[in-house]
Amino acid sequence: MRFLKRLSHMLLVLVGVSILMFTLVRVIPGDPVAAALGDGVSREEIARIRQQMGLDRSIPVQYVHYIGGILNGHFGMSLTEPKDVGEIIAERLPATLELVTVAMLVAIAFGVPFGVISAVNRNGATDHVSRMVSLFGVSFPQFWVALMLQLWLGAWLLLVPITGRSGLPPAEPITGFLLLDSLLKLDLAAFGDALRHILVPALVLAVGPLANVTRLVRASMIDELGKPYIALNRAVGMPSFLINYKYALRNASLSALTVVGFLFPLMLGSAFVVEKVFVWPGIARFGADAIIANDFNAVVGVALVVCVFVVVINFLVDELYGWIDPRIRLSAEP
Amino acid sequence: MTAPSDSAFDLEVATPAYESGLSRGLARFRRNKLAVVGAVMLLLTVFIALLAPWIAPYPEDIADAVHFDRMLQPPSWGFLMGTDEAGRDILTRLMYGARLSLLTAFVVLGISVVIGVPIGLVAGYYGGRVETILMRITDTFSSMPALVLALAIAVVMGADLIHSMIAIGLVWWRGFARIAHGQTLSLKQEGYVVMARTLGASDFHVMFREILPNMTSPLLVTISLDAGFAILIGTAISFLGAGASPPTAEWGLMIASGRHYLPDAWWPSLFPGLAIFVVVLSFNLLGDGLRDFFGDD
Amino acid sequence: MSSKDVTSAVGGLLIQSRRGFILGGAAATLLAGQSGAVLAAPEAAPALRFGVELEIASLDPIRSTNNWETMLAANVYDTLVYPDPEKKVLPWIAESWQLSEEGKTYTFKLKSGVPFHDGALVTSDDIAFSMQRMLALGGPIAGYFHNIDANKIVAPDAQTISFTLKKDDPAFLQTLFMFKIVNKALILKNKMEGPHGEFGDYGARFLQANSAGSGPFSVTEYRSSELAELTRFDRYPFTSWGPKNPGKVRIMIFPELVTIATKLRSGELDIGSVSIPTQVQRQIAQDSRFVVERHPQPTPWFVVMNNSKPPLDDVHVRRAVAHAYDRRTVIDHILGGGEELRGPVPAQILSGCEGVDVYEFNMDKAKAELAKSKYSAAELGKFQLEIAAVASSERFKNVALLLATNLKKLGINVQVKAVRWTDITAAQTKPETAFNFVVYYESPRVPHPSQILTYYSKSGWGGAYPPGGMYYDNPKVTELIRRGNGISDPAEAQRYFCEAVRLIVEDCPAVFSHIDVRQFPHGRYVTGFRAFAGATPFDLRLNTYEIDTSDTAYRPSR
Repeated sequence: MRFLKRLSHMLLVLVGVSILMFTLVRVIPGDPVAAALGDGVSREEIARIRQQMGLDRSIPVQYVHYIGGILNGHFGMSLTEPKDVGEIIAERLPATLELVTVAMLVAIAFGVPFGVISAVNRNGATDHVSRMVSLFGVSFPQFWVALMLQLWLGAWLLLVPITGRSGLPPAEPITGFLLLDSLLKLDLAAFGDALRHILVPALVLAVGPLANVTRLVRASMIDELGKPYIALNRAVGMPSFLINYKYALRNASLSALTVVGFLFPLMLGSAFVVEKVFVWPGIARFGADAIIANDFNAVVGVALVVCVFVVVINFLVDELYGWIDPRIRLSAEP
Repeated sequence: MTAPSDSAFDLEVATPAYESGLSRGLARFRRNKLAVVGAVMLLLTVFIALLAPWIAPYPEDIADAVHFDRMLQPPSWGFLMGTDEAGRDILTRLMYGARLSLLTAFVVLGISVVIGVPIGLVAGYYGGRVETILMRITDTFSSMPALVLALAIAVVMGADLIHSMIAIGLVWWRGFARIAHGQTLSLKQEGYVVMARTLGASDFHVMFREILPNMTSPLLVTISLDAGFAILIGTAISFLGAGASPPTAEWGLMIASGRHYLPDAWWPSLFPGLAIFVVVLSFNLLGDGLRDFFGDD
Repeated sequence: MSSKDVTSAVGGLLIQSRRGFILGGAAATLLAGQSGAVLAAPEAAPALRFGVELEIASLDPIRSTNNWETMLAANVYDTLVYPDPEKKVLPWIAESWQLSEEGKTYTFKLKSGVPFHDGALVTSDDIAFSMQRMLALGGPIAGYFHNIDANKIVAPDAQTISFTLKKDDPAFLQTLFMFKIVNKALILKNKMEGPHGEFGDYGARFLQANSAGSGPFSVTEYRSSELAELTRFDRYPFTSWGPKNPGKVRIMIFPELVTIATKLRSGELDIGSVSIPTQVQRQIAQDSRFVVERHPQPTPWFVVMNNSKPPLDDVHVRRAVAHAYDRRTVIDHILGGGEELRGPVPAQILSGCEGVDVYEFNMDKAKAELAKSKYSAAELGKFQLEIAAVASSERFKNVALLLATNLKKLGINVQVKAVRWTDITAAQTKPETAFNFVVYYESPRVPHPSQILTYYSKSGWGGAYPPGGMYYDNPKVTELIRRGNGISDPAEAQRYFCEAVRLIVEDCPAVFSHIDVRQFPHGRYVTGFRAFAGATPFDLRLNTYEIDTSDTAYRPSR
C-alpha cells in the first residue's frame, strides 16, 4: 500500500519534470527546424517539415507527442551531431555512470571512516581537523579544483593523463563500464589504463560529497552514541571498540545510505563541469558542449535524463531504507 | 523519508547557557571564532567590491580595455596577479568580479526567498489540496540537480549573466519552500496565531505578520549558507559558457578563458578560483556561526 | 610529393603501368593495402600522430569544410591534376589534356592502371560518376563547379573523359585540385535509399563514415569526435614509400588545444594543431625536442562586414572600421607573425598590383571618416552590432576583442560572440541573419584570384561561408572580374584583377588584415613540412613526411 503510494508520488514527480522540460524545449524563440536543416531550405520545406514533426499542433497534443517520443528514446535531433539526442545519450551514459559510481564509492569509502573517527573523537583534534577539511571541501569551486589537479598532476607532474577515458582503442563492451569490462576480460593493462584515466575526475567529483558524507555520518553517529543502548553496553563493560564499530556504525550506515540518494543529484550536477574539464565522454560533457552550441534539444534532453535518474534513485533508496529498517516500514503501516 | 535540503547541515548539539536570549546568543557567536572570521572576511569582500573603482590598480581593465602587448605576463610588482590573455590586470578584474559574485548571491537568494517562502507559507497554512499541490511542485523541483536545471533554463533564456542568476533563483526556491512549509506547520499551532485567527485577522495578516516574522532565524541561517552555493553554481554556469560573456570580469568566466593557456600561464585560472573559495568559505563560516547563534532548528 | 617522384612517375610510366597492369588483375581479387611490392610493411613503418581540435564530421570529400577534413580528403583521395608552386598544374591521374577551340571543353586522357584502395582500377566511369555525384549532392565544394555543364560529361572510353564548361574559365584546371575521385563500384555497392533514382542516396551515408578513394592513404578507423586513422596504401603509384614514411596517420581529435599541447610535450603526439595559441607554441619551441614550423601562407585574414545592414551600409563607416583595426598588434602580439595584405587577394596569388590602398591604424582618421557618414554620433551609438569569432579559437576571439574595443572607443557598440563555425556559415546565407562582422581566414583552394573575388560580386551573395555574408556589389568591379576571368593570358588578366582590387579597397567592404604565418608545433624528428605546395592543403599530403624513430625525442605509443 505504502509502496504504491510512493510509486505514484514518484510518477507524479516525473510527470512534473517532463512538463517542465517540455516547456523549456517549446518556449524557444526562433525556429529549431530551420536551424536543424541548415541553409538552402525553402520556407515551404520548413513549413512542411514542421507539419510533419507536429510542431503546428496545439500545445497539449505536442506534449503527448513529446512524451511518446521520450518513451521511445527520441529526444529530438541534436544540432551538434546528426543524430537523435536519445541515441547520443544512450551511447554516452555508461561513461557518466561509471564516473559517478566510482566517485560515490570513493566518497563513501573515505567519508564514512572520517565521519566515524570524527564522531568518536568528538571535539578532539581529529574532529576539528576533519570538520575544517570538510568545511573547506565544500567551499572550493569544483571546476577550479578539477583544473588545478589537471594542471598539477597531469601537466606538470605528468603523472596521469589529463583528459579522456581511455588511451587504448575501444574494445567490445560488456557492461559499458571500462573498469568492469577489463577485469572480466582479465586485461590488466586495460584495467590500469582505465583506472589511471578515471582516478582524478572521480576524486574531484568526490570531494564535495565526501565532505558531506563525513558530516552526516559524524552527526548520526553522535546521535547513535547518545542513545540508551550504547550507555547500557558501556555499563555492561563492552569494549569501546566494539561499541563504536559494531553497533553504532551499523546503525549509522543507514544514514550513509540516505546520503547516496542525497548525493546523487549533487554529483550529477557537478559531473557537467568535471566532464568538461577532463573531456570525459559522458552525457554531461555532451550537455556542456551543447550549451555553447545552443543545442536546446541536447541540453534539455540531458537535463531530463539526469532528473529522471535522480528521481528514480531517490525512490529506490527510500524503498531500500524502509526495507532495511523494519521499524520505519512497520511504523508507517496504516 | 524526505530528502534533506541542499544546505549542509550539522546536528551538533549546542551548549546551553542560562543568560538572556540575545547575550546568550552573542556569547555563543563570539565563542565560535570561526564564524567571526567568516564575518570579517565577508565584510572585507563587500568592502573591496564597493570600493573597487577607487582601489583597483588598473580600473580601465574591467571591461573594454585590451592590451595585447602585455598579455599573459606572470605576477610581478606591476601586476600583482599577472595579466590575462588580453593583457588586463587580473587583480583589478578580481575586485570587480567580487561585485558580480555578491550580486549573484543577492539576486539568487532574493528570487528564491520571494518565490519559495510564500509558497511554503501558503502550503503549510492552508493545508489540504493546496498543500498537496504546492508541495508536489516543490518536490518536482527538488528532485532536479540545481546546476543542471539552472543550465537548461539559462540556455533557453539566452546565455547571459543576469539570465543565469535568474535561472538559479528559479531553481533554488525549493529549499526555502520546504523550510517555510515545515516552520509554518509547527508555528501555526502557537498560541498567538490561534489568538489572531479567533480575533478575526485575515489569513494574509496571520501568515505574513504573525507566522513569517517567527521563522526569520532559520531563514537567515539558510540564506547565509546558500549564498555560498549560489556563487559556486553561478560561477560554474559562467565557466560552462551559459552565463557571463566576455569581456565581463566574472570569476567563472576568467577561469574558463585562462584555461586555454595552461599549463604555461597558470595565474589567470588560479587566482579567480582562490577568490571564489575565500568568499564561499566566508559565507559558510558565517552560516555555521549564525546557526549556533540562533540555536538549533 | 617531390618533383623527383613526379618525374619518375611520369618518366617511368611504362614500367608503372605495366606493374599496374600486372597487379590490377591480381589486386582485383585482393583487399587493398597489404599485398604487392612494398619497401616497408605498414606495421614496421612508424605511425604519425596528429592532434587536432576540430571534429571531422564527415569523411565524404564533397563535404570537407574545416582544415582537418580537407587534409584528410587530400590524403585519402586523388585528383586529375596536381598542384605545383612553379608549374601551377601537373598531370596526375590525367596524364594529358586538351582544350577545345572555344575554350570550353576539356578532354583528359587518363593514366591506366591507377588503383583504388580496394584494388579496382580508376576509369573514366569513376571520374564521370564522381563529378555527377558532387553536382547532384551539392555542398560547399560543388559550389566551385557550377560552371560545369552536367549534361555534357562524356566518357567515350575507359581512359578518356571530357567536361564542358558553360563559360570558359582559365582557372578550371586549378579548380580541379578540389575534385576528388571516388570509387563508383564500391559506392554503388553500398548505396542506400535516396532521391537520385538508380543511384539512391549516391552513397551519402556510406561515404560519411567510410572511404572509397585512391590516394596514398585509406581510412581504417573512424570515430567522428575522436579519431580518424589512415593506413598507408602501398600500391599508390605516385610515390615511393621509404622506411621513414608513415605507415599510419592517426588524426586524433581533442576539443581542448591545451590537451594537444600537453600531449605533444609528453610525446604522445608528433604534430600539434596550428590553432594552438602562439604564446604556447613559443613555449613549446623553447624545448629543443620540438620545432615550430613557421611558413607564410597565401592565407589572407579578413574581418568581413555585412554591407547590407546599417550602419555598415555606409562606406565611411566601413572605412572608419578599417582605420580602427590595429593590424600591428594583431600580427605582433595575438598571432605571432604575419605579413601585409593589400586588398583581398594575397600577393602569392595576384602580384604586381599598384595603387592599392592600405587603411592604416589611425583612430583620428577613423573619427574623421565617421564624421563624413550619414549617421550622426547618436544614431551610431544606438546600433548593437555583433562580431562573430569561431568558438573554438582563442586567436579569432582576441582579434575580435581588439577590434570591438577600438570600435567602442569610436562610439560604436560591438559585442564579441563566440559562434560555432557551422552556425556562422548558416547565418551568412541571408542578409538579415548575416553577422555584422566575422573574423575568419581564407585558405584558397584554387590559387587563382577569381576564387576570392567571386564573393565581391552578386554571384557570391548568400554563400554558406563568411564572405557570403558581405552582400557587396559594385557593377564596375563585377565587370572587371568578369573580364579578367575571360582572358587566358595571366598577365593581361592581372591588369583587370588589379583594377578590380583597387576599387574594392576603395569601397572597403571588409577589413583586409594580413597574410598568415602558419605555425605548426611538432617533434623535431618529423620532417617534410613545406611553405607552399601550390594549393592548400597539398603541403599536408603526408606520404612524403618522414619520422626519424631513432631520434631520442621520439616516443612511440605504448
